[in-house]
Amino acid sequence: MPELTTKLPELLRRTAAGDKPAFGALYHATSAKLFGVALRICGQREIAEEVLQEAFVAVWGRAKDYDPVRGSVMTWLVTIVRHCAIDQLRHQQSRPEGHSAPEELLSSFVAVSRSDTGAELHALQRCLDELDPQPRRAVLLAYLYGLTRDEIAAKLKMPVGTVKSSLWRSLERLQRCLES
Amino acid sequence: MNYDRPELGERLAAEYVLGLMPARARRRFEREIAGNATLAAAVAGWSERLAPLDSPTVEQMPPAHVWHRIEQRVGSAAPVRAKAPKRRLGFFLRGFGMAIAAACAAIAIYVAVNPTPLRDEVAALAQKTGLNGWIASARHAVPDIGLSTMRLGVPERERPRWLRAALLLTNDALPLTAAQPAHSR
Repeated sequence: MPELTTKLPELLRRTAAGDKPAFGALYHATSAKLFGVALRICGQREIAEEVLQEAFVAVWGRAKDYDPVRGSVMTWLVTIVRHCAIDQLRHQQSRPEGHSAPEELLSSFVAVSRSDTGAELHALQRCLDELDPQPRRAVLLAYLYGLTRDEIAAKLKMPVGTVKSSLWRSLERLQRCLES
Repeated sequence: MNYDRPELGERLAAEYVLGLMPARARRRFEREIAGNATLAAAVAGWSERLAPLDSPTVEQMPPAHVWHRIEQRVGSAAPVRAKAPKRRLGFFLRGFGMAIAAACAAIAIYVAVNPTPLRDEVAALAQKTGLNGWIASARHAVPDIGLSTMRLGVPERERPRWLRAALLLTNDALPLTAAQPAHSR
């Protein structure tokens, strides 16, 4: 999608200037992926639709805060959607994945990612595989499914304190691995 | 919070990107990022590092009503959500003097016009003072809009002409109702 990658910064810049058609174009270029992310975290369509709506209203308001130094436009958008989805989850009483064991959740991710031919994902997977299993699962449960530390601790049957300390150490290892 | 220690910044950035920060802390952190290039770079780093995890996620078309709803919420000047009056307030204040803005963090101006003749008067006032765009769009969106101000905190002589005129005009014709002061940012 190289053409799209060059389009998005321009669309976001124009959105920040109040250009509604550009905002519309930004939405139509990115909403399918972002809706997928919202669905992954929320599990339920109506909630994911709410989340997508909230996220784009936030994008409209915060477009002027975007700075390329903060990463790609798509990553910035995904971050907003993920945070909206996580906020939404905190208000829910029961979460769909509350009934799935971590292995089910994560194996579905692994299965899908095997067919992904992206080099970046393979590099990340390789470095994730170098982590101890529990911290690796913790990273994936947090990023992919928006679980809190407490929920991660409960799912992995670890003390919360252990989740906290091992998570940062593992992330540092991940960072070093990716930089090598 | 001291963000100068690089490891702390990296750790918080990772926590932010992973979604492990509570909502309030996250909003504070986002304000920090805006003014701190090192933190912004740390957040970008973690976002890009973990972003490949999203690539297997299947794209799905959202239903059309999601976009319609977004358009409604960002497109109209009318308060679709409770927060909207603060936006209109901002428009007012920018156009009509920093003095008011500086003096009245707690002001809430919320315009309401009831009987039609009064609406026309306010519209005429708006035209003279440049409030046009705001009044026009408010009128379309809200059937009854009424003028009420509370605790201006600015001496009479410093109030802009439009406000003095509006207050004179509405003094007898409209009850002035107390509105909730806007929360200062």
